[in-house]
Amino acid sequence: MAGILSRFTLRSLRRNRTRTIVSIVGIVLSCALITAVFTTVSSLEKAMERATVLTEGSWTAFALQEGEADLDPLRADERVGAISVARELGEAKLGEMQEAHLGSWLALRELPVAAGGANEEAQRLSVPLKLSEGRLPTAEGELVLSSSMRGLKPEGGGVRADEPLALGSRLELDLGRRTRDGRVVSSLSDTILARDHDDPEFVSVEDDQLSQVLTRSYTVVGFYETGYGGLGTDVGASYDDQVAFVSPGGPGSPTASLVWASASGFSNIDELESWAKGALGNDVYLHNNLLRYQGVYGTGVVWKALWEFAATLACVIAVASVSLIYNAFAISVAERTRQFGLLSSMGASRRQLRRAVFGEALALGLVGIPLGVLVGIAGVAVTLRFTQEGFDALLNAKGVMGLHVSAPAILATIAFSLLVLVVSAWLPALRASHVSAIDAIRQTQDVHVSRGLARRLREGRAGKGPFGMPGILARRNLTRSSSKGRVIVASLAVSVALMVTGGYLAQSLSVIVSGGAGGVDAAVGEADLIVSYYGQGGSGTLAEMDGYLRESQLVFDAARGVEGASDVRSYRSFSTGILLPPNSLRTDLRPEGGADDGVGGLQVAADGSGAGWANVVVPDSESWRLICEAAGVDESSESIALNRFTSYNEDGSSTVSSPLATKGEAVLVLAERSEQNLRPSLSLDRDGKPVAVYYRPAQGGDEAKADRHTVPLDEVSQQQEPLRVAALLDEMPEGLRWMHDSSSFPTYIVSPSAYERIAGVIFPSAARVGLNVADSGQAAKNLDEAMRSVSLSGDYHVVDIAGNARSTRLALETMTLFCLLFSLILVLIAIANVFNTLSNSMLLRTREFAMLRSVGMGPSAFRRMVVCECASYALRGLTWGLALALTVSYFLYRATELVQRGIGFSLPWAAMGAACLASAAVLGTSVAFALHKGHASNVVEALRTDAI
Amino acid sequence: MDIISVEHLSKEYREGEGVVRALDDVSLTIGQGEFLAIIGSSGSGKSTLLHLMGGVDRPSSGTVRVNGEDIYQRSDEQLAVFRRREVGLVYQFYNLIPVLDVVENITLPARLDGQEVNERRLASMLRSLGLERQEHLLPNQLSGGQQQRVAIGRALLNSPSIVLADEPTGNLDSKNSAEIMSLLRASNRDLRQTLVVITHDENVALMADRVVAIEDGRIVSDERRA
Repeated sequence: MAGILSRFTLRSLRRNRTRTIVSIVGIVLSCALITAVFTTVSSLEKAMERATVLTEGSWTAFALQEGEADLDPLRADERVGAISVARELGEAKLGEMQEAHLGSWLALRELPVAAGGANEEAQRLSVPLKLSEGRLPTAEGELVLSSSMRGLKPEGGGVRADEPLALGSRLELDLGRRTRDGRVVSSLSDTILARDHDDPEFVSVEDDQLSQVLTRSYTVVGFYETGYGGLGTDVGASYDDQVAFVSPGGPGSPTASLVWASASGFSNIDELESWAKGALGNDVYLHNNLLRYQGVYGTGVVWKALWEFAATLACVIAVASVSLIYNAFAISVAERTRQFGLLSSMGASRRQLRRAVFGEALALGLVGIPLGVLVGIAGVAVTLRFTQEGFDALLNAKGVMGLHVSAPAILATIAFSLLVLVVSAWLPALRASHVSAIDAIRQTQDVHVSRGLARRLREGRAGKGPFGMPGILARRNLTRSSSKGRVIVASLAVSVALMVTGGYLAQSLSVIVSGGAGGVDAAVGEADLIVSYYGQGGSGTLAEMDGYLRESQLVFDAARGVEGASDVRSYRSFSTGILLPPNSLRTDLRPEGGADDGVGGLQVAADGSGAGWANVVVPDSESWRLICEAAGVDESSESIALNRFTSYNEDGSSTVSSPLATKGEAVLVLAERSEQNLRPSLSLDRDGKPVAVYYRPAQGGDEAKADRHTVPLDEVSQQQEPLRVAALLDEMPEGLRWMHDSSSFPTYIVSPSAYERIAGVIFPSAARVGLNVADSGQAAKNLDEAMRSVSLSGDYHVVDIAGNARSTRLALETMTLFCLLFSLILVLIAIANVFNTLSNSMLLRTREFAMLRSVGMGPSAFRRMVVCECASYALRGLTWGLALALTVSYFLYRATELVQRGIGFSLPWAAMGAACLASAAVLGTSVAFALHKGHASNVVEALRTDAI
Repeated sequence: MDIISVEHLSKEYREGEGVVRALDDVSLTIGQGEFLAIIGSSGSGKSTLLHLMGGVDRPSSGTVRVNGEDIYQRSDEQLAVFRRREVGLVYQFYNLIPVLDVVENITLPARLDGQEVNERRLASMLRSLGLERQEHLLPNQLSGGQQQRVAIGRALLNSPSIVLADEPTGNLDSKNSAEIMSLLRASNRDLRQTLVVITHDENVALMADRVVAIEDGRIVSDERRA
């Protein structure tokens, strides 16, 4: 059997090349799209693995070992790729003055060195220290400290310096072995690495003892930025200690060793954990983030969701593809009904006939699937090339996104595509095997007349309607081939829906990126770069204030010195206690009695008075002028209150309010410090009377053990200064909105000239300078270098707003591009379906058209008939498609309403217009093609020729 | 010996809202090697009777026995085997497979049966049909007469015991008609194949051993010729 029916199948395919090509194109498109979806996900997975290695290191296991590390078992293990180790040489106790900010201990640690495997691989195991200043230690007697110690003068403990720490400073350390209950502990002993998890109590590191103490001197050659990567990733990780680094290979035996190792060949996390504990000891920490991407540590919530999303997309593609391919087979079988009937009458069994159709599917699949896989992979490769920047932004790592073809994913694609083919061919195959030989032999097929038409025929109304006989013929044909019509209309509707929804998606993302009050580009409109400076301490002493003013001015000057900088605006912010008189706050915010939690940093009393923390912002002169202009007051005014407070609700939404009821006068209060040198906060007692609250957090952050006591304000020594508020302003003027965080309330903008008077009652918070510049990325780098060169004691932070916005825009554009490409290919599949169905439907009627011509139907009447039919398909397809698209678009709008920040739903007119034009184009092309193909040289020839 | 026995055969078709009784309680027996002509006007039920005898359609009621066995007790698979081994069908409009060439069309039933084609028999068949030079031509490259000869070759190659021909000369000129009937008659005589022919052609009817007339689904006359 196989031979003759195979020939029958293959020759039938060759005979109707157009339908065969369209079917293959459909298979290629669907297979390519499925390949693209899976390949994109596997590439993304690989990229995230690379990004993780880049940002967190390539280590698999990180361990803490007591004393000198025992690495022989590791070195002998074939599964181990590389090993590096950092020895901890001891600890020194920090003085009490530094404890609050730096912790209780300073650990001395060597920089990691390769201890096994290839050097290059070993160096990638952990993320190297990022220097903010200076260089790494290379000789004995040199060390680098965390940048949080810069500018401090440690004293009163086992860490001492004669001057505030800077490059070149001499540091003396009383280094020893830290012990607790006779056991040696290290800077990592109290982390999850080594803590006994059953013990709920936090240990008191202050009670640890130091033994075998030796005093050593070091020269500070550099400062490093404190990392946030955590255990294993951050070489400076510790429980609560400062860590200083020295060059490896120095004298002394270590108190502990930190070991990083990479390993492979494990199928699951339990196997890896068991091996790691055996090879490295119990105090081992696994790199779950990386193991997740390597397939060892489950799939995680995110990856499960991503592969499920990919599988869902594959199913959507499958539905579209099955529709096209099924239709192609259905047409193929329908056109060869006579032949299948003949074969049945000749003795072909049902199984043989089914196999003929499946053989056709296989033949098409053998061509389409490999081609589809190649096209899919190539498509992803090309797309990734053009979206590299976007993925860099999405992944927050440069150059990690590349094409990664996963063999299991390709096999899954091939299997899935074959399944789609089988499913598509199933019903047509069944139909072919059940073809009535009699219908085939008789060459007749009953014309099925709908009930409506039958009724109209009986009532004599069927022969009436617009467009005359051509219109009647068109309407009858639409009734006759209703199943084909439904396919055409459905495919058209799907393609219209996809085009319009895709257009809406692109439009919305454009709004999110560029427009709206909170759009990505809105932030850029304020300032391209913002530098924040945070003064040291916060204790409010004069020395601190002078240092803050001096150093913040250095920051401002550095910003003004950036080449090409424009619109440079700056401000200094301060914190202070504040008392507001009665009726200052809105009635609806006042409690019925006593005081409540209030609003922002204020507690509110029943009479509308308030007490709490306030922010004081002192802008530069030009900014002050603009703010006065916006508030409608004179520049000689003393202050303006920002009457805007944004609170965030549990569901993630936000509420903006204007809590202040009147301008007038506020009182700034600086109360005396506590014995522990802590500044109190202001509040109200139950009767609404102002109080000072002294608060000391407990060690380990246990709220229940925090120390808190309240003193009536009039019993506390304090300084007060009145502040005249000239106006309430709802919002900072455009260009200066970056100066105000509306979740911080209350905020008072104070004139530069009024600052001197209130300087005694405020203490430094942060200073900021914003500027516009063409190349924000380069300017950010230049500014960073300029900051380092001025040797600030406080911290600073440069934010490339324009760069971040660019990254966000790129990320969104990349996502949009993928969505649009996906939609486009689905549109092509749907259009192919329309083309296939309509053109074949027309081809089947070649003889009928010839007959109409033979009885005198002229070209214009013929055109009218065809146009009527196509117009019906177009109207129905567009109606359903637009309805579906607008429904989906509205739901998309509702889902992203919060992100779109109050922008109303708008119709994607451009996409709708494009969909209408595309529908007309595809219908017109299908018909033109079919009519051209079916046009016989003469009527007789057409009447004789088989339609196939 | 009766090779075909039709008993109380009826066939109804649904057409629109009504039911058409194409065959109405027809009973008939045909002996082995007999040449039977069936005549009747258009729509009388001739083709229906022929197709039911060939196992191509299923009756509404009644039986068709071939060699004593009710063929409609067989499964669809067995019926397909029956059609390709025991019956040869020839139609008025040739009904060749347009994508298969002459040889492939002729050998179609044999290949569907999984048989090896007997090349000598095939060559002899092609010579008898006058198609030695048209072996690899497609149906659309042949004349009407040639196409009908291919159809006959297809019907006869497997040496079926029954040959059913539905107006085999209806679409041919007199010369071709005579040639076609000559082939069928030769096969009937030489191989003792039972031949049932539906015809409007008097000459064809005159060639038959027996003529059955059908009208409105019923046999109205059954004459044996001397």
